[in-house]
Amino acid sequence: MNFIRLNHNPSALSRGITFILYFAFLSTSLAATRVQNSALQVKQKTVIHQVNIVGFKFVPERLEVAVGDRVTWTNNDIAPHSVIISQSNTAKKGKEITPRLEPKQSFSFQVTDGINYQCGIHPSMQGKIIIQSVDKR
Amino acid sequence: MQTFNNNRSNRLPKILTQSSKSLLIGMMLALVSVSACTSANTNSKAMTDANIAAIVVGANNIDISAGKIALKRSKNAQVRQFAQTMITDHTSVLEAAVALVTKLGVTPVNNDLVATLAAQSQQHEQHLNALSGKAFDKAYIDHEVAYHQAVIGVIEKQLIPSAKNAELKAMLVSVLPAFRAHLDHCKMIQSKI
Repeated sequence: MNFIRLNHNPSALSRGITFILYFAFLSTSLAATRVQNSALQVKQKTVIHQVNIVGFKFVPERLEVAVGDRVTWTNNDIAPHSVIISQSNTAKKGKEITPRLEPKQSFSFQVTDGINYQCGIHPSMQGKIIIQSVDKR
Repeated sequence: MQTFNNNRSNRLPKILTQSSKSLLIGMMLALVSVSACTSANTNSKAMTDANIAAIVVGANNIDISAGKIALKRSKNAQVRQFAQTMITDHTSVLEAAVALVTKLGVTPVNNDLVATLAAQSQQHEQHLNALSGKAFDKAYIDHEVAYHQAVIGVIEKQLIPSAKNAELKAMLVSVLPAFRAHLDHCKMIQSKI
């Protein structure tokens, strides 16, 4: 009897183990897909970085962002300012990033590349956008 | 004839440059000496908030006025852009200062420094109105460098320490970055003309 049971049980046991393994694999795959989807959603979500223009300075002066992120400059100063590609950056020098921003006005810009920038009205005001390495995200 | 004209055109800017230098030195000395007198007489004749208001209004008006002359007389794009910035920014500072002293109920009262600044400014404007071309650009920008240096010194060493009202003191502190940015800007232009 024991032999017969032993002879029949391994087959049932095998089917049980196979079912459990299959179920475990399916669950893990689904979970992994969910994690991947969620990571994809995080990557697709646009991050907006704020740069405050105050005291004739860009605060922060140096900003690390990912490609596709947006940077919003807000003029909280007494005088108008603007943002242009820095004169030292020869390829696109002088290119306008924001229009002239009167006090309390803002402008948002989608980042595609790292840039050195300055105020188009007050050239001593300087700032920098650096593209963040992927592993930092 | 051509040589004579060239000689005259070469000599003229030198004479005017000397005149410009003496005017600048005069203005710097005036600011320093009046500041020194004010400092020495702090106990007997301290600078009041009303005096400070008059200096702030006067100093901004002087630079707005010089900027308007530059827009009329200069053809240099950088000089013209700087002049327009001086008009815009100093008008903003002036409006903020006037709004504050009005709110505080302070009526500006002229003192020796205001009178000296006004006299020197009148002399400087007459000098600028007699110039054109590169001679004008150099005289205007050289003066802007010296003027902003002098005004920053007066604000830091005289006006801020003397201001009694906290809001007036805060306003003086807040306008310093603007004056420093202007100084950096005109120094950049000075190195190119």
